[in-house]
Amino acid sequence: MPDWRARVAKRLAGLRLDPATEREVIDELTQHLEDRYRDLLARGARPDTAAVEAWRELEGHPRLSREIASVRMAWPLAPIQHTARGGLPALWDDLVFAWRRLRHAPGFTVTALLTITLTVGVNTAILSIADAVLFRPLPYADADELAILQVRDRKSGAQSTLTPYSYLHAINAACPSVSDVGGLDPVQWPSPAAMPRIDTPDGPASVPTMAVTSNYFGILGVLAARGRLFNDNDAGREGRAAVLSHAAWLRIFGGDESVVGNTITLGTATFDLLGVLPPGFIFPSPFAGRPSLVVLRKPFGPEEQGGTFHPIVRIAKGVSRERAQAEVEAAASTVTAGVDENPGVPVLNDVRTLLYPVGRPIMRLLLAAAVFILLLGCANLANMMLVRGRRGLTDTAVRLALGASRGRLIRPMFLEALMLGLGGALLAVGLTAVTFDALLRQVPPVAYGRADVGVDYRVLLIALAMGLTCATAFGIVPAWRAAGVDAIALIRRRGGRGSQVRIGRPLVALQVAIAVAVIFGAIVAGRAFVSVLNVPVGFSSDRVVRVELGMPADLSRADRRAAIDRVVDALARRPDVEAVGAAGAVPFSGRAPDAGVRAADGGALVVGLIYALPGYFEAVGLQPHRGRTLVPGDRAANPDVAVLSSSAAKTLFGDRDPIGAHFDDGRGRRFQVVGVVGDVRNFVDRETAPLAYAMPPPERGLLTIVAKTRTRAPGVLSEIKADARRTVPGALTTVEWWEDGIAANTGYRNPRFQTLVLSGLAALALGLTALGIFSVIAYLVAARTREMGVRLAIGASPRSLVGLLLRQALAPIAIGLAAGLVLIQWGKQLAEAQLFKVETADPLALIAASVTVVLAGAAAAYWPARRATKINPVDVLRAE
Amino acid sequence: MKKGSAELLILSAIEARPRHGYDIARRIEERSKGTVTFHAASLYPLLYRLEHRGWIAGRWTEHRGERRRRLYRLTPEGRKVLARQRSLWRAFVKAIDRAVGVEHA
Repeated sequence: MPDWRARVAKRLAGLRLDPATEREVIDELTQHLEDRYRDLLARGARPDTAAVEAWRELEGHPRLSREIASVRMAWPLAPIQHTARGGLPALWDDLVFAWRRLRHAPGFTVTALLTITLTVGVNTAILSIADAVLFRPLPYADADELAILQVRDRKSGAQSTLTPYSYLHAINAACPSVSDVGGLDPVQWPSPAAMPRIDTPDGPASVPTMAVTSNYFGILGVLAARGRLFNDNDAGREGRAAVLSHAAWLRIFGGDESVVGNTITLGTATFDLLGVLPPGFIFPSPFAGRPSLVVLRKPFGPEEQGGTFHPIVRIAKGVSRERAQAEVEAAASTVTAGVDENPGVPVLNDVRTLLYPVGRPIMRLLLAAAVFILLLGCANLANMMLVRGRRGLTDTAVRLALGASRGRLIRPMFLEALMLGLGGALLAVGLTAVTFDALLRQVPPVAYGRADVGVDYRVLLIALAMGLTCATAFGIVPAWRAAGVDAIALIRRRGGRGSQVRIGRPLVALQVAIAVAVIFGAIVAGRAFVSVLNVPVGFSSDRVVRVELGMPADLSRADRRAAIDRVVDALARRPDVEAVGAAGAVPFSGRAPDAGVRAADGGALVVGLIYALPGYFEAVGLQPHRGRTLVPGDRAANPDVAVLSSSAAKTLFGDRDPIGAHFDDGRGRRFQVVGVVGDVRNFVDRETAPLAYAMPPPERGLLTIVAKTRTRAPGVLSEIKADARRTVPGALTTVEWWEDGIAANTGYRNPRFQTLVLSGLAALALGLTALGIFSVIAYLVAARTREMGVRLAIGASPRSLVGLLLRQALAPIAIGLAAGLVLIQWGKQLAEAQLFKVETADPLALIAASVTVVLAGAAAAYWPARRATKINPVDVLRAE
Repeated sequence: MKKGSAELLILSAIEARPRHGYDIARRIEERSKGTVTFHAASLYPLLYRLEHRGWIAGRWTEHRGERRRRLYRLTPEGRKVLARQRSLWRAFVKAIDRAVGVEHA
């Protein structure tokens, strides 16, 4: 007997089914031919005749493999119930069917899931941070009634965070529309030894403490998690009554309930612990940090000099902010009437805006980018569903012809989209939750301030809503179209396709527009961060060790100063130290200048004065532009020489030559200018202020020591710490690499974050767009196989067909590009209004974004277009 | 020949009992007295398509000493389709008969 199996296998070489199905088909046909051969022999045919005759069973039919493959490969059809099975059981059937359809198309399922996961994931990640900054209610009762006072300078319009006590009294006395003012201050300890401290494995550590007025928590409407917070009856217990932050209660006392209501001892200090603040509580002040301990502050006395940072008031219910503002201004004017020195106008500020000054605009921009990405993902999903809808169209037609209702036809597709949306959203939330901490480490804290950030149930709900909306909204359209097909026409394999091509191409245009805008936006947002973080700071923290000395309590001010000098000398003797100096308010310490220089007319402070010891300039890399910096000889010979920053020189002397000139600090100290250095930034998100540097008065004992080392060697910190301890026994020393401290505080210069924002979002947008273009072109090719065959048959070259398809892809890309540029023009105004120092007139970014998208689009189109050249015109025409 | 008549032939061939492919082809040939023949190349794609539509179901069976065979049986849905197509066919034949003037006795 001939080897039928081998012959059949060869005949069906083009099947390309999965191996098991292919073997089944070959087995079955082999069996058929064997049966036929035996039959013929039994009827008396000669073996060679029988073999020829049997083989004729498989002759002709040039498209046999393809025909078999197309049927065996297609998706399973849903059982069409003509019985009364409806309601829930029918829904279950459809669910099972949707599940089966997804399992039968792993390529589609994985791509769709990936699209949803990535797009929703980007949204949940950004939202997890943005939520705290933008949306989550502040942890205060009726937070929209709260306001933070600042003082606006009458001339410059700039707001200062310090409100004079005199204003607070006036407001307490004369403003019925707002509550009494609540205040938050750093604690003035009588001596460093009195500071509360705890023992940690790394040695004693101080407990960050703030003081509030007794009405403070009441104004915020915060309730204690344990015990109680301060109230008016606590008067007289200032500095003694205290509450703990929730985190500190857990950390220091292990969440011990028995300490609440009892006396606690922290170092040498003892407090009556009234209660514990709720978890997640943050102070409505960017300066407050996250103190572990909050003690009671005495009420603002009428004679108290100075002012307080970020005092808070609650505006009475039903009173407009404008009216409250007018009252506050009027109250302040009673204080300033007849006084020359006018601190400015008190202003009621929105709490959220003050808490997240940098974070809000940046987060808003990132969120906008994320929403764009979501749109892109949805457009992609729509494309994929369209292509898939077309593939299943013949099935749909058959089922329609058999009398399935259109609603019933749509439901499995709808359920399929629902399953994808749900699955993708859950994956996205899971992925975000797992990677969030790693992600957050890449984000500069300046973006979210003091807020608690994290993935919570709100984010989860929003992600689910996004996934489901995206999948169903865009999944239902193709499903509806599929159900709207002309069944008869489709069974005859004609028509019903053009309409979907018509949806596909606008989708490409939409995707291209969004991608261009997102990529441009990512570049702009990235650069906004860069400009906030990378504006030349004017100094160098590289290889600089920062030393803070917490002095023993029994040292006088002069002794403290002598101790600092001794440590500076000791460090200067180290061979691995290039330069060492000290200054009062070093950059990025959050400290205001040590003193100020008033304008010639005795009015406002115009230049900040920083106390600096010689060597400071060299240690932090401040080169003199003109003249010289302070030198050790100045200590004895010229204690009143000063070095100005360039902007201070301009402020004080205009275009005159400042070297040798004199200026007055307005308090009787007269300086002679010996040099000019560059400007230095003091805060990450604020403009540089004009500064003057001068030798500290002898009793000034609060200076930060900075030492520039030759290498950032690992042992240096502990050696310097030991030096400092030896030199000043009993001091509480903090020694760290300055740049680490700055990075931790401000996230300044975090190139990894730029990379994350820029390349992450842009690459995702690009990838999604490419995928969308790819599927539309693949779809075009598939839908027009016959046309391509005909074109090939009448002499078109394969190359010209690829060209034709590419041109068809480029048209929507071009339209999308134009729309994208319009979108950018519109978005630019938004960005300029929102972002600090953003450079949106950036032709390079614009060109880069456009070229990238067009190239990616063309590449994505080329790949499926090449398939057109593989069409065999003979096969196509024979099928007609 | 009327569209769908091949389907009708196959469905009726397995109405009484399940049959394998070659068996179906032979039965149709026998019952039509050699007028209608199915080659494997047209039979199997059609069988697969009917199976795909859920009208027939194929299952591999093995008998001792023989190769395994794929037996096709009618599904309940296929039975309904058969009944409908059969009545449509009768109506069609009646109409054709009337049109070409064949008189029934």
